[in-house]
Amino acid sequence: MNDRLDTLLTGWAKRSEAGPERMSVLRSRILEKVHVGGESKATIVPAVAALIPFRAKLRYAAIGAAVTAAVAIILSVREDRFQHPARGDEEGPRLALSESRAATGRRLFQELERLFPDRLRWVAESDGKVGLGVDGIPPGGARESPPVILRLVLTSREPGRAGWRAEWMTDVLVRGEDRIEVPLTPAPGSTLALWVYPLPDGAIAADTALSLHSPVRISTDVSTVMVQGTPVELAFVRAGNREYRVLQMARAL
Amino acid sequence: MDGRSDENLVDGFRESGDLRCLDELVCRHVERVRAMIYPMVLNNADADELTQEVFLRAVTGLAGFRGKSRFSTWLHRIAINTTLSFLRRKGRSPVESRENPPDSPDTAPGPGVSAETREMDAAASRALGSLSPALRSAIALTAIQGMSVKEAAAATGCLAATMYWRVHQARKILRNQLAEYF
Repeated sequence: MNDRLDTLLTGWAKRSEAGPERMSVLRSRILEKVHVGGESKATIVPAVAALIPFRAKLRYAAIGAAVTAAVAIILSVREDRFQHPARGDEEGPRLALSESRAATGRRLFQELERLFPDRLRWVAESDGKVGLGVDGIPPGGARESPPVILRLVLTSREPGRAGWRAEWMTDVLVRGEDRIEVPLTPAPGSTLALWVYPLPDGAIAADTALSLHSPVRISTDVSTVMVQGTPVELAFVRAGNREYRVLQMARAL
Repeated sequence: MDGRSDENLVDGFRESGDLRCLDELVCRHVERVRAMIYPMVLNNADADELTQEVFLRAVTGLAGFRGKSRFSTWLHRIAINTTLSFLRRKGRSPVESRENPPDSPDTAPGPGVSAETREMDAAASRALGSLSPALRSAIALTAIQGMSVKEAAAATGCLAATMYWRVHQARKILRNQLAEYF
């Protein structure tokens, strides 16, 4: 360590700090913004209709059919080419998040972003259903962070046995650095809060807060840095006569 | 309320929506957050905007703060990632320091700051501005914020070996550029 350099830099930093007047103005600005921050930044929306303010519903009702058609077309194309993992599938290649799946996700995300320019927050696919999170108010500034597909899989087995099998799975498509909350299909009240960040070296950082109510109660909040496509275990629980674990994997789109 | 911990304030806001809890959290941490950001962006206007963005992101994400880490750690991570994202969008070329003029009221040196110190500070700004965002962030987090290399690596999501290299390179460049002040 170079003490003189450290001393020089810390002294510079101290003298470069904003003065009291500037800090007072900044503090007031921030307090004003955070008081309405929860409203101006859409937090979670289970469905398009629930997110969009009433006055915009008429406009979006007109394109609801187009969205459904777009998603249906894309999903049908995907189904033709890939076997979507299903309940009961064993861990391994069937549950892996492949590059081809990421490519499909990219197409889906792009199509939906065209329909909801600057408003699409997330896309979640689970149990054959697709949910969208859409802002009612366009966010300030362009979202330039690349999108990511993140897969969560709940698997179970009899204690000590090999062969983990899928109970539930969801794929979430979201832009990096956009913190979202997604309602999950297993049971009312189950939620996923997610923040992902594609790193310069190709890894993907994720903060994942999962609250599952069914088929087993699992609550976990984990920060991870993932190699693309490589599963990491978020949680492991024993309930009744079964063991459950939650796997997470991600790829950049 | 002043005696309450950050985590108690977070709980207070989440349970009752008491905005005074948010106010207290902002007031406690705004200076430190901005002090973390400024050495990486070297621009007062950018530092102000990013500080505001950090707190907005934190408020939006409060529902997901589970208390597994300290609130300040969580907040600082948001600050670092928000700033790094900003620097990435501005490109990889070294950023010219767009510091306010030396006689700007909020950066004018206080009484007792000698002309030699002012000159050294200007040279430090230029030297930091000549670094790439990655190197500048590395030296800002370690030498200025006092993080260990491993802490800085974890905060920025890079390998510790990568952060060691960045800190070493940044120090080498800064020592060369600021040699006359040692």
